[in-house]
Amino acid sequence: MPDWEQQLKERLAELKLAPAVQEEVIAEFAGHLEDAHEGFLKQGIGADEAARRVRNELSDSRQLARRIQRAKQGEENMNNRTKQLWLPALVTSGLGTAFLAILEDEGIRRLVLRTPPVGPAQAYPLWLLSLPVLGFLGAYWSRRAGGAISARIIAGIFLSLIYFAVPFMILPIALVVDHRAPTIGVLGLAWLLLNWAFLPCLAQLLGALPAAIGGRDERAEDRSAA
Amino acid sequence: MIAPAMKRGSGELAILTVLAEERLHGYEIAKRIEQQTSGVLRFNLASLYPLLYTMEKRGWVKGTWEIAASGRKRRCYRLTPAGRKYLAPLRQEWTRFFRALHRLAGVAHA
Repeated sequence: MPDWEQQLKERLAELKLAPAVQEEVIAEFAGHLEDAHEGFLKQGIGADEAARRVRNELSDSRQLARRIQRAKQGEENMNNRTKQLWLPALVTSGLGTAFLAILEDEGIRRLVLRTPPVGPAQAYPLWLLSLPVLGFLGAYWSRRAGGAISARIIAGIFLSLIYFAVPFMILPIALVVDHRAPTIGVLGLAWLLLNWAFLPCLAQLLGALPAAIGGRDERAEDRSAA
Repeated sequence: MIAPAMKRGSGELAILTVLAEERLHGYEIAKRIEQQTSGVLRFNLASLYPLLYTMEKRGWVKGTWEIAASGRKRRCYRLTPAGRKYLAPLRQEWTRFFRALHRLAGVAHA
């Protein structure tokens, strides 16, 4: 009997699934072709003709690979990225922003915490202290969802990445709207980034790293297995 | 001969129907459908497995590696409760569709 598994491996070389999944698919298809071959033999068809007919199933192996790829991975990729990165990143960023608003805005603070207002000098350190917790939460959530180490870290520090990007988005807009260069200056921008991006990033990283480093990194395992 | 689009649409119904009777592996599913439709519906690797994998992802069928009657290791599929729940209205929908076509053909032939 022809070695169907070997033939499938050659013809479905462009299939790019996780090694374990790919192996399973090839084993399943090889079983199918083996059964089909035996079926033809039982019908009294000669071995060569039976093998030729079975090989016909693989005539458009490119299309087969594409369809399998789509069925196995298409939705999964999308869902996994959402579960492992976007959801933890956006929820923890939302929480961080909401906490900052509660601390800074007197009205919201009174409404939510029912405590006397604090000045910006107190609000900022309090917010900074909450960031390791949020960093840990984002990274841990991503890890639980099976995220790779890179996804866990990004999920942990996503709020700081947003705050880092905001000035670079606002400055050009201000330039267009006001028709003049913003007066913030290089030092001002550096100070802004230090306080609202680098320090928060460090704080979040502090919380994210313990959660990010532990546990399995499935993507790295897939790569090393390949 | 049935058009490919119709075959695709009916593929889910065919697979779920044969799996509602018993658990089968891929080749058996294809053979069973071919036999029960007198060769009108035929599945090959490219048409059967993408559909099976999609249905598995949706939770309608579940595949597990088992030792088949032939003594070889095969991935057998069974209908899940969600698949059974999905099959009932699907059957009704197709029945309505074929009745409508039948009525239409009857009027056309009158």
